Amino acid sequence: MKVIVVDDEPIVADTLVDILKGEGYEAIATSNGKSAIEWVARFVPDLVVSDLMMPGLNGIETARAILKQLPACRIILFSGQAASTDLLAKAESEGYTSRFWPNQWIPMFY
Amino acid sequence: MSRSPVRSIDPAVSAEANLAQSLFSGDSEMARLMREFAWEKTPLGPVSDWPQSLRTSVSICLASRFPIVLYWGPEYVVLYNDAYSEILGSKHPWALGQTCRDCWAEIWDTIGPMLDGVLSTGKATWSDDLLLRLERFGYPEECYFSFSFSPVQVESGKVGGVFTAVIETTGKVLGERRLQESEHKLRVVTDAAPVMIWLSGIDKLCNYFNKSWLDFVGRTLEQEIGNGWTENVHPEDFDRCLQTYVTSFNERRPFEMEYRLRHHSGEYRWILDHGVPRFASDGTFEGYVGGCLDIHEQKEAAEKIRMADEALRESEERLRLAQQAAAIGAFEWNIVTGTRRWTPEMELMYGLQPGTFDGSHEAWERRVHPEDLPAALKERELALQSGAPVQAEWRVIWPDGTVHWVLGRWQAFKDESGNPVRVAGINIDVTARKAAEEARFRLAAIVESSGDAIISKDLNGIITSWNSQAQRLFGYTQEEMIGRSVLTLIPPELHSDEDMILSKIRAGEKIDHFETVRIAKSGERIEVSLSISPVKDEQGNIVGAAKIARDIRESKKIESALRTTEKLAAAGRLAATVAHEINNPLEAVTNLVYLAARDLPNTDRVARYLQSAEQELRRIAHITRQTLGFYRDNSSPVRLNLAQALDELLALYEKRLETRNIRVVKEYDSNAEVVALLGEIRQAFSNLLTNSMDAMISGGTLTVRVRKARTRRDGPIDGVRITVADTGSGILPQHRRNLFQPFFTTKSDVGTGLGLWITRGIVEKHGGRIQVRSRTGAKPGTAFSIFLPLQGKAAPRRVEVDASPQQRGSTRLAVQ
Repeated sequence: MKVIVVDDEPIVADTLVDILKGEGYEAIATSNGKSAIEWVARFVPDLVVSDLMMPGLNGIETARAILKQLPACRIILFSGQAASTDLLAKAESEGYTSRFWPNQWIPMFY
Repeated sequence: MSRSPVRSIDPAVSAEANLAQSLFSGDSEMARLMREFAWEKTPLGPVSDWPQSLRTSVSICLASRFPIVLYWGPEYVVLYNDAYSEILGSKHPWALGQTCRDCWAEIWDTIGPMLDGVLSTGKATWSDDLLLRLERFGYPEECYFSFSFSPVQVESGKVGGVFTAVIETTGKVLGERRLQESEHKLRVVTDAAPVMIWLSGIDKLCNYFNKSWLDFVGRTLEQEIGNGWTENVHPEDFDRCLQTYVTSFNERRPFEMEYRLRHHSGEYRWILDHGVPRFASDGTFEGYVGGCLDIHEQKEAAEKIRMADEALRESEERLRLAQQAAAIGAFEWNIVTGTRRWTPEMELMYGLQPGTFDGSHEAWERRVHPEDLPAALKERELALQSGAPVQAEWRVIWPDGTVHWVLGRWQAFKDESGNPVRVAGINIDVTARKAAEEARFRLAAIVESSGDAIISKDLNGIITSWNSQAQRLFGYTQEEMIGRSVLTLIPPELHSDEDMILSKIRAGEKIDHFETVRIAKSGERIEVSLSISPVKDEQGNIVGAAKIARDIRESKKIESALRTTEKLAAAGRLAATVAHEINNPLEAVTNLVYLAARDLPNTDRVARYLQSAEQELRRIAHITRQTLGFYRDNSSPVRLNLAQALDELLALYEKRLETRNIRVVKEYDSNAEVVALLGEIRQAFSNLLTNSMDAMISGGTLTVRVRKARTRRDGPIDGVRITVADTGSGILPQHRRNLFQPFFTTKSDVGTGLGLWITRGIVEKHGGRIQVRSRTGAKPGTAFSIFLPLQGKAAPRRVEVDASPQQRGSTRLAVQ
C-alpha cells in the first residue's frame, strides 16, 4: 500500500512517514498540496494523508485535485485547529467523511 | 445702305490712296473706313481737294478718344471717330459721309438751326443735358447730351464746318430723376407715417424732419433743421440726449433715448427716440436716421404705478408702527343702546384696520382664542353682576394668523335701580410679557426635569440657582446652597480649578465635558462631567455661568467593564493562537515518542528521535514563556524597545501570517525606545497587527515601521512613530469616522468592536496619538500610525480624576 503524507511542518510529515514505513507501508513526505498533486501521477498512492490548513492549497483543495486524477485514491485529512471545523463541515457537505480526529488515526494502521 | 465703292487700280487713284493713307493714319476702325471711303462721291470731293483746316480737324478727331463728330461744309457732311460711333447706334458705319440732315433726320429740327447759327455767326454753342429724341436703334428714345458746337475756320476766314465734342448724359440724367422720384416717394411715405422721423448728415446736424415731427412741434422744416429742433427739448433732458447722440454718432452705434419734447400745445411729452447710422450702397457713412414714438401715456402710467406702490408701502409702514405703539386701547359698551365703541388702538390690537370695527359683540368674539373665550365671558358676567373691576387675559388671533396676548380690565356701572347700563375698560397688549413668561416657565420646567444637575453662579462663584437633580446628586437643598460659594462642592486640592473656570467664563468661553471630581454633602467623591457656559444679561455683559454637572460614575463603571470584556476577548484570541502554535510540535513529539518506543533496540535512532522531541518541547516552552509574559500586569512603566516588542508579537503570529500568504516587511530603527506600560503597548500593537491580518484575506504585505520622530502639537516633543500598514481591502469612508468608537466592528463574528477603542485609550494614556489613513478601490490598504512620546506619561489624561484615591483603583482596573 502506498501513502503520500502532506504537512507543511516537515518534522510532522517526516515522523509520520517513518511510522508508516515501520508498519510496512510505502510512504513519501511532501510539504505542500502542489507538490503532493505532482507526486500523485508518478507515485500513484492508495492513500493520501494531508494536513487541512496549509499555506498555498489547503487540504480540501489538494484532495479535490488528487481525486480528479485518481478517483480510487483514499484521502485522510487532519487538523489541530479549531478554525478548521468550518472547512471540515464544507468537506462533509461534499461527501467526505470526517470521523477521524488528530492523533486517533494512528491506531487505525495497526 | 450703300457701302464705300470699290477702288480701281490706276496711278492717279493710287496717289489719292497714298494721301488718304497718310491723312487717316492709325489703326482705329474709323481711320480704316475713312481710308477706304470714296470721298470723291461726296460733296467734300477727293481728299486731295480738302482744305487744310478740314484735314487738321479730321486728324484731331481720329486721335481723340473723346466722342467727336465733324459736320463739314454747308451740307454738314458727317465725319466721326470710334468713340462717337457708339452714340450713332445702328446708324454706324452708314453715317460716315452722309449729310447731317440725313443722319440725324429725327432731331434736325433742333440741331439744324443750331448748326446754321454756328456757321453764320462763327460762335460756339454749349448745351447741357439736352433732351434729344433719337431713333438710333429702330425705336424712339429719350436721350440726353452735353455738347458744344465749335466753328472751324477755313483759310478764307469763313467757317468751313462744325467741330463737335459730345457726351451722352442719358444715364446720369435718368439716374438723377429716379433718385428724385424715390426721395419724393420716401418723403410721402415718411410724412404719412405716425412715426416722427429725422435725418442727419455726417456733420451731425439734422437736415430733414417728416411731417409727423413738424406737426408734433408745430414748426416748419426750416425752423427745425440744423440745431433748431433742440429748442423744444426739455432743458433737464438736453445734456443727456446730446451726450448719447454725440457718443453714439462718433462710434457709429445705434442709440435709444427718452426725452421730453415740447408739443405744439406747449406741453412736454415723453418721446422714445431710436437712431441708427445710415450707409450708402458703397458703405460710405452718410449720417443718422431716427424714428421717434410718443410714449407719454405709458411713461405716465408707469410713474403712477410706482408712486402708488410707494404710497402703499408708506401706509403699510405707518400701520405697522401704529400697531406697535398701540399698547393700550379703550372700549365702552352702552348696554342700554347696545352700542360698543373702540378706540383706534383697540382695533389695532385686534389686527383690524382703524375704523373697521363694526361695534358688534361677535366681531370681538371672533378674534378671541376659543380656549380663552369662556373664562373671559365669565369675568364679563361677574363684572355685570358685581359692579366691581375685573380683569382677564386672552389670546387674540389676528387675520394674518399671528397670536397676541391681551389683558382686559373693565368695570360695569349701574343705574339707581342697580341695573348695569354701561361697561368701560381698557385692553393692554401683553404679548411680549407673555412670551417672556412662557420662555421662563419652559426653561424652568426643563431645568427642573433635567437628569443633570444644573447650577448657576455669579462671577464670584456664588451659587444663584440649584435644580432638583443638583439636590439629588450632591445632597444639599436649594435653601442650603443658594448664596453659598461653589467651592463647597470642590475638593480642596482642586480649588485652583475654579479660578481657571471663572477666568474662562469671564473671557466668554465655554467649557465642554470637563471630567473632574466633586464632593457631596455626605463627603462622597463624585466623578462628574461639567459643561459650563457664560450667562449674559440683555446688554450682552457676562454676569455669571450656567453649569451642567453629569454624574459619570455609572458610565465610568461601564467603560471599565468594557475594557475588561475586550481583555477577555483578547485573551481568548491569544489562547486560540497559542493552542495552534503548540499543536504542531505536540504532534511531532507524539510521533517521535511513538517511534522511540517502537525502535527501542535501535539506540541510535531512538537517540535521534529523542533529540528531535527535545527540540520540539523547547519550542513549546518558548511559546508558553512568551505567552505568560504577555499579559502580565505591568503596573509600572518600563523602558521598552519597540522593534523587539513588535518582533515578539510577529513571532507569535508567524504561523497565521504564513497560512494567509502575508509577507512581512520590517523597517525598524532598532534603537527606538520609550518608557511605557509593556502589557498595554503590546495589546495596542497586537490589535493593529490582527486587524491588518484580518483585512488581508487573500494575502498581501504587512509593513511594520519604527522610526524616531518629533511632533509639533503642543510644542516639540520627541518620540517614536510606529506604523502598521497593510494592503488589505481598506476601510470604507463611512466606517472611518466610527473606527475608534466602542462596539464598532466590521468583523461581527470574531471581533468585540472594542479593539481600536482600547488601542486609542492606551495610546492617549501614554500621551500619544493614533491616526489612520485608508484607501479603498484600486491599490487599497490601511495604515495606522501611533506616536508615542519618549517619556510617556503613563497616567490618565485627567489629572483631577487621578487625584481621587478611588479613581486610581478603577483606573488600574481598566489597564489590567
